[in-house]
Order: sequence, then C-alpha cells, then structure tokens
Amino acid sequence: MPRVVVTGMGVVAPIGIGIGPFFDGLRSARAGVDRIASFDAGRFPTRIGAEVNGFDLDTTGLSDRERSALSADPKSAFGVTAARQALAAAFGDVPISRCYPEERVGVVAAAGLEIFHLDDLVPLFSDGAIDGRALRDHLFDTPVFTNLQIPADLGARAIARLTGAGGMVQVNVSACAAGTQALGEAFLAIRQGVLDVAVTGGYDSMLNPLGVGGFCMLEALSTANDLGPGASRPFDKHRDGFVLGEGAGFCILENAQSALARGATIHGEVLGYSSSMDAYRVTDPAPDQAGAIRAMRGALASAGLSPAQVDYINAHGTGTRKNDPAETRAIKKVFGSRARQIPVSSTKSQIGHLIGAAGAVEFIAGLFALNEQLLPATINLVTPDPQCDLDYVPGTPRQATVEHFMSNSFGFGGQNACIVAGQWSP
Amino acid sequence: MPGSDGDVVITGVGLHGPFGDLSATVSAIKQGRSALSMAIPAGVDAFPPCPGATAEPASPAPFLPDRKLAKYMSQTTSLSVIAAGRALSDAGVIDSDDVLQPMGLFAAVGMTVFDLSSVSRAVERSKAPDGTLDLQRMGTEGLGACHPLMPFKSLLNMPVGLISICFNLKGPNFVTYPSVDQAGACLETAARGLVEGRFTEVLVGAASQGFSLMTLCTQLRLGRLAETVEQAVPFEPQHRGIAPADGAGLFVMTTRGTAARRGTPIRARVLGVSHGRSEGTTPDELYAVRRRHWARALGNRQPSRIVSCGNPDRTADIAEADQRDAFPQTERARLVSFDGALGELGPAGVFFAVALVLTGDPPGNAPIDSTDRCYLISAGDADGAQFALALAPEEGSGA
Repeated sequence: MPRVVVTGMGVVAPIGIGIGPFFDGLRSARAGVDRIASFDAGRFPTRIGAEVNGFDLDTTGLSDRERSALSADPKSAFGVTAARQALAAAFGDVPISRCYPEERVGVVAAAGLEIFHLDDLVPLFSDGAIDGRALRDHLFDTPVFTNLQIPADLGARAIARLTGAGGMVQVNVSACAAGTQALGEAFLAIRQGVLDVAVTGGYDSMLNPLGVGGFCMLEALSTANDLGPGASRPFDKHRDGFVLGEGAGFCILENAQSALARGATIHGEVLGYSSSMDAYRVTDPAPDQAGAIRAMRGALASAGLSPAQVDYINAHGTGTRKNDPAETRAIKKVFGSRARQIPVSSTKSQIGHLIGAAGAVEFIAGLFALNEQLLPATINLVTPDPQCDLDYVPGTPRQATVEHFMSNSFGFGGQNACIVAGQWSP
Repeated sequence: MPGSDGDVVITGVGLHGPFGDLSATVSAIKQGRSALSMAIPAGVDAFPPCPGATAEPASPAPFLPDRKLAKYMSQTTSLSVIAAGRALSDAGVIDSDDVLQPMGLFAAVGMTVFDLSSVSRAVERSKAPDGTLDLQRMGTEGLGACHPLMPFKSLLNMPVGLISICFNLKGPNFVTYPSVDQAGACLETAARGLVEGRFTEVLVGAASQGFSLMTLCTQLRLGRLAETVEQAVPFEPQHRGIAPADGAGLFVMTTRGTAARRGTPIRARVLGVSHGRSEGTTPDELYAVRRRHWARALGNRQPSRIVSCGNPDRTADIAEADQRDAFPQTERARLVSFDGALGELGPAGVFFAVALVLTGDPPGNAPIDSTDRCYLISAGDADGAQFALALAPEEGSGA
C-alpha cells in the first residue's frame, strides 16, 4: 500500500493567516477570541467569537463574480486562500499538472453550512409569511449568490478549479467531524491507489447572525462575554460552552513515493484514520463514549500503532460541560494507565471552534507539534476540573519529543473521526 | 469490483420519492405517468408556479425507536430514514444488530432546506420599523421567538445522525453535499471499503429536497429551472431546464461472499464507479471527461442501456447521445432518463435510476437480450459534476 505524506500546509485562522503566523500564534499561546466585530451582536446572549482579522479577499485569486459572492460569505474564500498556500508550499510555482495527470489529483474538502442572509430575507416577510411577489422581484434584482442562499461548496469548486483536479472532488459536511473526515478520506483514497495527490482540508464560518443565533438557541456557546480572550476554556472547571471561530486549513497529501521522486519537502506521514457513529442521541454524546473510543482505536489500528506509541493528542476539547469529561474518559479507556502521561491539548482554547474546518486546522496544529517538537497549549485552563484529570498542557506550549500524534473530532449528531500522523521515516 | 471476498453487490434497495416507494415508482413509470406538475412551493403564495415534484407523503414512524425523534427531523431527514429502513428491510438485516452495528454509512444530501415556517415568528420580531433586519431586536426578541428545533432541521449531517440512531449503525461514515457527483463519492467509498475490508456491509445513498422555496430560488436565479413540465423532459426536442424533485434512495451493499454466507439474495453486482469534476465549458470538453468516467466504470464491458441523470438541457442531451454513438463500447446502448417522470433528484437521482433499471423493464428501456447484461448510470450537472456507475443485475434476481 502506498504511504501518504504531507507536503504542504495552509491556514487562515483567528491567530494568523499563513503557516508562519499561525505557528507563531501557537508558539506564543495567543488567543484569537474577542468581541464579535463583523456584525452587531450586542444584544445576543453570546457576543464573542474568534474572527479572522486582516483577511483580504482581493488576494485570493478568485474571479470578480466569485469575489462578489464571497464578500457575503467569507468561508469559501478562507478555504481557497488556505488551499492556495498549501499548493504553493508543496509545488512552488510549478503547476500540479506538470507533476501528476489531472485524474490522479483530487480535492477532498470539508465545508460548513450554507449561509442564509437574514438581512435579505427579513424585508420579504409580511404578517408572518414570506411575500412571494416581493421574493420574485428580489430574485431578479440582485447578483446571483449574493442573496438568500449561498451554496457551501463554492470553495471546494474554486479549489478544484485552481488545482486543475480531475479526480474525485468530495465535499464533506459532517459538521464538527467534517475536517478530520475529509483528511481521512483523502488519506484512504491515496492509500488505496485512487489518487496520487489530494488537496484536503476544511473551511467554515458560522460567525453571522443566524449561525451565532442558532448555536445560542442550542445553549452550546459560552456566554462569558466579559472574559473576551479568556472565554474559551476547555477542560477548565468553569468552562461554560464553546466559542465559535472561523477559518480554514488545507494540506497537500501525496503518495510518498511520488513526493520523494519530485524532491518534495515532507512535513509528516499520515498513518491511520477511522470514523464511527454514536447511534445514541441527537443532542448528547454516548455516555459510555463507545463511539469516540471506537474511532480512536480504529485510527490506531489503521496506523499499526499501539497506544504506547502516541506522544501527543490534539483533543476535540470544545469547552462544553459535556464534551470535555467525556473525551477525557474516552482517552483513558483507549490509553489505559498511560493516559495521564500523554499530553493532550485543545487548540480551540486559542482559535475557538471552527466547526467544519476544526479538524483540518487542528491537524495542522498537530503537525506543528511534530515539526517543532513543541506542544500547543490549552490556554485559559486555570482551575482544573476534577473530571478532567489528564495533562492538558495548560497555559503555555511545552517542548516534547513527538514521534506520533492523534487528532480527535467528535461531531454534533454523533459522528466521530480520528486521524494519526507521525514523523516521516523513509 | 472484485475483492478478496468476491464482487461488490447490492442486496437491499429502499427509496421514497414523488410516487412513493420502489413498487409504486416502478408501477407509475411502467404506466407512463409523470410526477411533475406546475406548483407553488410550500410556505409562500403569489410566487410563480414552478415545474417539479414533492415526495408522496409518508411517515418515518415505523422506523423510529422513539417517537420523540421525529421532532428533530426535517423532511430530508425523514425521507432518508424511510429509505434507509426500506433498504435494510429489503436486505433482510433490519433486525440483525450484529450486522447493523459495524455497518458503514455514506450519504449525500442536496442543498439545505431552510424551513421558513420555523423562523417566521423570529423574523417578524427581528424587524425594524422600516421593515429591515434589526440585530438588536433579533438578539433580544427574535431568537426567543425562533422554533427551538430549527438548528436541528438545518444541519446537513442530521440524515446520517438520525439513520445511525434509528437503526443503531456505528461504523465508518460521512455526509457529502450537494451535487450528483457526491453520490459517486459515497458509492466509490463504499465499494472501496468493501474491497479493502474496511467494513463488510454498508448503507449508501442520498436524499434531496429540491422542490423547496429557497432551492428553487437559487435554481431560478441560475437559469437552470425549466419553465414548463414539458421543458423538463430529457431527450425531447424542447428540453430546457430541470424540474427539481424530492426523494431519497439508499442501498445496502456488501460482498458476494458475505451475501452468500448470510443467504441474502443479490440484486446486482457493482462493476465500477468513477466520479469527478470537469471544468470544461463546451459539450465536447464536458463529454471528453465524461467518457473517461464511462471507461473507468465500464472496464471493457458494453452496456445494454445508459441511464442519464441530471442533464440540464437539449445541448447536453445531444452531446451525450453523440458520445454514446462515438464510443465503441456504448454505441449499441439505449440512452434513457427518468428525470422527465420523476424530476431532478440531485444526488438521489442516481439511486432512483439504479433501482428502476434493476426492476423490470420500464418504458424507454430496451428489452434485455444479452446474457452479459450491464447497465451504465451516467450523471452530470451544469457545474461540471461527473459520475458513472456500471452494474449488472444478478441472474435470477428478477431484475
């Protein structure tokens, strides 16, 4: 079976745009959470989020039409930008088509939800129902895509276009598990010989009135508005929910043999992947954590690793009351007595929860640990929760020897995904 | 697609669409009926009638372990659960927990159906006096007036989540979105997983609710909607646009070895799957890529018929027919489509096409006169999505 390596990375995150700034943000344990600035959330129960700052849509290379569409929905533009960074890192100025036949190149992306524009919709409502005549007039009075409903796969299509991919293009929408599932399915496609190279990752932004409002209704978000950058507190006793973030992360996964043949720089090897379902409740994780355990054990088995060989876990670590102790228990069941010796950290403490993009950006945080031999921190972990009693790398990054790491994603609705990577060794 | 445990096969088919279940759909197609009509989408009045078809009303209740689950279900999720339950019943595994638990689940969904009725009160209470959105009011009064289950009905992964809960599926999974090639992503992953031994059984399918207001608006704006029912019939001279429809189709797939050990009848053998995207803009460019997918799915086999899904207009029809004629493997195949009777079902259309082509000889299908029977399902959309699936009905299956 072909081995699968990472030859390029790209990130658009609340703590930095580009791999360099993102890694700097991890090194300095910077918090990306602040008051929401992109819309007036002043009267919402949650008024904080981890927004991407300094993003310039004009540098994405998108067409005018696409830029026009994405000005109202930045997540796809985040995705295109991150994918472009990853491609540049892996191939420089060389078109990918010079290295691989187009049918051997794929795009496996994770995307968030479509955006529905309330500011467009609201004027169309009258007496509790939508006014069909007004809607019809509206439809022919605004540019395509900029009103009402923006398809979430715009970014994946744009990435396929800029890549020249003629192989599989997959758009995964498995919510919080989607990013890890995208990476995992790309890994499997290369390992099983379907592709030689995949542009894979995720992009998302729910930081809009309907997105924030929807999560407020689910009572999933932190309302510690006054804490600002300190509000995302995974594994802390006083955590009160997650903080929404936005951004994108993309990797170039490549058949190792082909990558070596063209002299690519290798940042790590993807070793194993597994996904599972809780089949329990819509609203809660399974109380025995069986789904999460199955995903972690499956990923280890897929990698051919034992629990003793994992040096670091990038946790799902949302900061909700239910997730963090459940994930802690799952890790203990998988890693047994060694669980307390394995550093576990939550990148969401710094960048918030990127939902569909979370797994992809957090995988890149794992690659940071692998390449820098420095563990990303769980910031804002001040008061340990007795139910969360592992080594969460609180406060600041820590030097460590990292040969292999695991990254977890557990989705709302009971979808779980886990991926394992390690140092490249020919 | 033979693996170490034999061919990849289909053992269960479940669907629910404009005519209802598989039997009702086959019967209607054989009678030459069309489900399409000019209608106004639910939740709005004074809107121009659009061609399309909603799904025959049906309840997922027989498949729900807890009636309370229904409250979390959108129409797309409900259709998915119904189709899944029928597929698992058809495969004879719906009561076999040892089979269900490790089963994989790969599903594609169409565009989000935003349930306007669940937000109408919230919208009213988020309005400024001048009728525009007032975020201050939304944060205080609007959110409180929104239906509390609205988020559950909007999340794209809920069909998979609810299927797993209803039938206790715990295996590998994903949800893809929203075009017809994403059905290919599901089928290819399922077939590869069976060949590689990642799982021994898998539920794979798609659901789409195209005849909903917001999705229709998007299609209308993109100029993809037919203006009349007659315009929405592929391979007719007046074909110009699609008629969106609602439906879900799911299959149980396994290996021949597993089916034999369980004594499960096999409906069809999967010969090959290929999917991808073309950036071509001309029919020639588009079909050069499609030919590659046909060749990859077919291997060296010659199909007796090609079922086309999702062709947007007459130009695409002609290009596909020209390609069929120019491609030695397919020049003798009959080219048919069910879109004119069922509507355009997005990724679910692929599963309807397979189910129908395997079930009897609906009008438009050439009589089967070869012992080496092979069907090609070919799909694409206006955005360049490409998909091909080759399959052969199992001798003695009645297909």
